[in-house]
Amino acid sequence: MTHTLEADGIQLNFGIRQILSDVYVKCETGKITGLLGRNGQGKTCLMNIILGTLNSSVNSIRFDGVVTRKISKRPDLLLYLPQFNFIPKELTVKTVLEDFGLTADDLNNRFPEFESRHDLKVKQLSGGQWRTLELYIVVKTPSLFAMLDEPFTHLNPIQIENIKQFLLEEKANKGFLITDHMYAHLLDISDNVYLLKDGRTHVAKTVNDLEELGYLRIGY
Amino acid sequence: MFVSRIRTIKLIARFYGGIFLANFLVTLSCVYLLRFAGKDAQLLLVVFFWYKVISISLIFYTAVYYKRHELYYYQNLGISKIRLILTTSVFDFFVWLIFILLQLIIYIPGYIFNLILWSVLLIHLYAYNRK
Repeated sequence: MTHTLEADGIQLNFGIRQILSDVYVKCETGKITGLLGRNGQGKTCLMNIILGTLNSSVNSIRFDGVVTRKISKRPDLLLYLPQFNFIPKELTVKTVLEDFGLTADDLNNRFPEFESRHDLKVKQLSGGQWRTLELYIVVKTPSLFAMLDEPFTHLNPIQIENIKQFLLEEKANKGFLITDHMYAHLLDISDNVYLLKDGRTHVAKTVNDLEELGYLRIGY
Repeated sequence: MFVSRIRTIKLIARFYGGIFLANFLVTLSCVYLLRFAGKDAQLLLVVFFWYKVISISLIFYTAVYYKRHELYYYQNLGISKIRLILTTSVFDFFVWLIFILLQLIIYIPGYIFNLILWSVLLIHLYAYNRK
C-alpha cells in the first residue's frame, strides 16, 4: 500500500518578510522527492513546519489525506535528519544502534568501514563517518517517511555514491523528502523534484527546468 | 510496551545525567543552608523553594540551548523536548523535596551530607574522565 505525505497552504512570515506563501509538496512511499532552493528560501523551515517544530500561521500537513499535527512525536510516521550533527558525541556507535533497535551486522554489510569502530565514540569518527551513521539510523529505523536535510554534507564523492545507492535501495521501505545543494546528485536519485522560489514550490524535472526557474546557470 | 517504556526511561535518564550535578549541588546547598538555619528553617522554606525553581529554570534553559542539536536525537526516538524537560525537572524537584523533608524531619547529620557530596563529585569525575 502506498502512503502519502502532503504539505500545502503553508504560510510563514518572519516580521514583514514572507518566507513561504504558496507551497505544495507531496511525498509517497517508494519514492524520493527532492526539494531544491537557494539559501534562505525556506527549505529547512518547510521541513520544520512539516515536522511540527516550527509554527506557521496557516498549514495543512496530511498523512494519507488526514491532517496530522505534532508529527515530531510520531517517529513511526516521520524521521528527520537535520543539516547538522545530532547524535550526542559521547555515545558509542554500538549505543546509538541499540537505541534505534538496529543491528551491527547490517551496518557492517552496508558500510564496511564501521566494522572495527563499534566501540568508538561518535566524536572519534571522521566527519563523513559521523554523517553516514546519522543517515543510516534515520533511513533504516522503521517509519513511513524520512526527511533528509543536506544529507551529502561532510561526505566525500565515494561516500556520496554509496549513500545514493543506499537511498535507492531503501526507498522500497519508505518515502524520502530530501533537500541538498548538490542538485546533480539529487536529480539522479529523485522521482520528482520541487524548486522552492519566492515562497512557492515549482515542479522541476531536468537541469534545464532549474535553469529556467533561475536556480542555476549552465555554462558559467 | 514494557521494553519501550524501559528504553524511554533509559534515554530520559541519560539526558538527566548531563545536568544532574548542577541540579544536585543546588539541592545540597539548600539542605546545608536549612541545616544552619536551625529553628528558623521553616521560615526560609519559601526562599529555598523559589531558589530551587529559579535554578532549575536556568539550568534547563542552558542545557536546552547547548544541547539543542542533540534534542533531534531524542525526537527521532519519540521523546519530545517538552517531555524531556518536564520529566527531568519534575523528577529533580522531587529529589529536592525529599532531601528537604528528610532534613526537616530527621535532621540528617553533616557527615552524611559530606559523604553524599563527595560520592557524587567522585562519580562525576570518574564519568568525566571516561569521556
